[in-house]
Amino acid sequence: MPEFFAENEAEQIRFATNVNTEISALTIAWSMGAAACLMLAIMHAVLWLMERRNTVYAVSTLMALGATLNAVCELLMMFSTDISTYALLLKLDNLGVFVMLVSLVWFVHLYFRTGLLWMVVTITAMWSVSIVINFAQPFSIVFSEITELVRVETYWGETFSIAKGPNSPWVNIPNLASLLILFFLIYSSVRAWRKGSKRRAMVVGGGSVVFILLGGIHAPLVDAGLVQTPYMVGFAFLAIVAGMSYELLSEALLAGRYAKEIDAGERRWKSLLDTVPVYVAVLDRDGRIDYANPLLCKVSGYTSDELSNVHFTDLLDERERERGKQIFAEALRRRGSPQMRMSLLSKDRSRRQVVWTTGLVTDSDGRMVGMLSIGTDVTDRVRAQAELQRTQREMDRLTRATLLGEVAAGLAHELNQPLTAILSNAQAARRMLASDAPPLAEVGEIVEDIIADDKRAGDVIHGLRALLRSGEGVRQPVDINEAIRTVAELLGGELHAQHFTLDLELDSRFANAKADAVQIQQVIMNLLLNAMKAMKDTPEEQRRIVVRSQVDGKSVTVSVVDRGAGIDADLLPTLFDAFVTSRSTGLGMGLAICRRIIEVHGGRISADNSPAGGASFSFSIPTSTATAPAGES
Amino acid sequence: MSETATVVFVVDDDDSVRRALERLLRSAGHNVESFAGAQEYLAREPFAGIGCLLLDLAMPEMNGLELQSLLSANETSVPVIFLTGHGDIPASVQAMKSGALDFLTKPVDESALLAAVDVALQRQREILAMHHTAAELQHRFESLSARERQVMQLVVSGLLNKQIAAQLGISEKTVKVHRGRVMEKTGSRSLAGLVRLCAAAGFLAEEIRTRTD
Repeated sequence: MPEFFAENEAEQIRFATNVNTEISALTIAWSMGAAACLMLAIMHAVLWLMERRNTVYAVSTLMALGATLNAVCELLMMFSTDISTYALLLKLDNLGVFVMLVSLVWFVHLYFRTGLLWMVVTITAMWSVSIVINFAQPFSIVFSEITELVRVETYWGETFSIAKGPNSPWVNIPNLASLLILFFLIYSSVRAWRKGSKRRAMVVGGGSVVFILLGGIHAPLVDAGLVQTPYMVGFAFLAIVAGMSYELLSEALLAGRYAKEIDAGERRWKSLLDTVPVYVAVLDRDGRIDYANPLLCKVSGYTSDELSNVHFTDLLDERERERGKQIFAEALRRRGSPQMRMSLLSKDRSRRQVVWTTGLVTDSDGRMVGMLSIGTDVTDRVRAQAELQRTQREMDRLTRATLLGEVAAGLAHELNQPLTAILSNAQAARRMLASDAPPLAEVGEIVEDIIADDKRAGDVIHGLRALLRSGEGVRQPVDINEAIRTVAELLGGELHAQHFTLDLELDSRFANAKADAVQIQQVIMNLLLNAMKAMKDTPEEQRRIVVRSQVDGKSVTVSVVDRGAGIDADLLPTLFDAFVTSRSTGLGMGLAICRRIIEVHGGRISADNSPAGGASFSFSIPTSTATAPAGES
Repeated sequence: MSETATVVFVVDDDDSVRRALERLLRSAGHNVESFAGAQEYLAREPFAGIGCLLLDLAMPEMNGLELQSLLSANETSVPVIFLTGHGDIPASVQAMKSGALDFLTKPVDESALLAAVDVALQRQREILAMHHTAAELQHRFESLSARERQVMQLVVSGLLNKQIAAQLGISEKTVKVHRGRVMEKTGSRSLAGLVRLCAAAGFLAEEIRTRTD
């Protein structure tokens, strides 16, 4: 544009003085751009210093520095009047562009993580080669020769320099690299967009593309002398760096916010771990304690520092250490979450019962890194349970005492009857014997009656003893069928003498009950004797008693079925109470004792009338072993 | 009526006790009838002689107190002696209120038992005697005619024959005849005897009423 060009020296001097004395818009614009880039470079550098691990900050710092260098060189080039200075500045300018672009590519690569490392490397290599050539050539990589510096005037009257000369063929290398960069940026942005980071893609990728396009089209045009404006790549770079900064800074801010939230979360966890009434320990893979919550520290008596790196078995009772180790190893091997009850051994050697629930801790790749153990202290509960059991036993004793109180009145009556009869009989006999002709036959009868009544009183006492004793016997596994057979044998003679037929229908499955054998036999015998008494008026040919045993799940039921008159319906509800009897000669103690024995064995006893006539008494008690076929039925 | 047979009734559900009591009472010379329950006793034909009832308090079906309340409705019933196994105070209070004669605790000693039975029989004997006397007197007075009864009342109240004749509007001679018949029918030999007889009849009526209440 020759018309912009001043012909005479004076004009040139005027321009020069103008430049020196008046405020230059170009100077202001470019120096502000450079300053802005430098400012951003400093900010990024600070960020990087604060967070060394984050190489993105280092890259972005470099990028901003490159942009700064670029802007400064562009400014100086505009006012350069000497070709050799201009060439040097252009070389430096290209260095800035190189740093800026290569950093940009790496930044996008690191930031978007979209891959294409080969392209990044290629771009870097091409630019590195370019920069070597740039400094090796006399007129930079752009020009093979700068023939002259043309002064161009802006429309507001400022002049600036533009180099004129044939372009170097080497310039195609950086230009090609720029195309690759463009492609890389577009590709990465699209990928990032698709992956959902839309804002990031827009701001970083989109922005970069636009400004690279602007700078990348404009600069070659200037290089080729087609457009006569200053290089304005610096502004494009400033925009790109600003976009990056916006991204990075907003991320840094977000990170700060997240950090606060994480901190709050941490604090919540910490306060939770500090206050939960359970022990919490995190063990590493070797079983060493990584973390112990304050309660665990407090109860164990160690500080958290003392606990860290201590093997967890050191906190166990000596006798349980081996078991603890095994469970831990097993849990790691099987990736299980075992539950166990162990004694916690504290520093002062006191022990607490703890039920531990554990879970494996894995890292984000699913690798096992340790074990989380949560322990509930059950010492007090165990103690309370023991206490409860003691109370229960005491209650049982009291209940028995109350039962005694209840039966005492009945007992007095039951003892009074025979005593009354004995006294009156004896006194009658004395009178008879005092007479002139004692009726000896009658006195004999009296003596018989006295003996019978005495026995009766004895039975009451005996029954009372049995009632008191019931439940205190020795519990051993008792084969119920064996018990039935024993009783049948014992009563065999009596049964035969009274023409009874006894049928045993015993379950072939083996039924062991943890019981006092004698007491169980006593119950069976009592029921059998009752059945016999109930059939004393039954014709001899119908005197048949069935004793049945039946194993059913976890209990065994024994039934004694007779064919007597059955039980009076009024009597059924109170049949098992003490001193309730349907017989004039009975004491009403037998069934009460039976019930007592069965209840003490954790079973139930019941009576009913069979539809076919006669009564059926059954009791069931829990079995102690799983049922298995027995050799004999 | 002087030597009516005495009977001691025993009601107890316990065979052995009943038999023993029966023996003891027999050996002491009493006639005994025993029953295994209240129903059996009630089923027996009414007894009008001298007797007493030895009653067990605690019995199935109908207990002693229930039987007693049934019997007390009948005024000729025999006196009741309760036998109880244990010192049941509320029951004994109720029994005594209902007119039980005694309350014995099992086992009972023969002396206490026989003494209580004797007292009961004696009492019953007295009551019966009074019943007899009263009935006898009743009988004598009932044989008087209306006019004779009028004359008797006036005589007993101390009026002279003349005064009676004037009051009844009959002749003094007729009064004498009536008076003679009254003396004869009541078996009185003197005026004093007649007065005593009338007084006794009035007293007995009162006495029987209070004793059998």
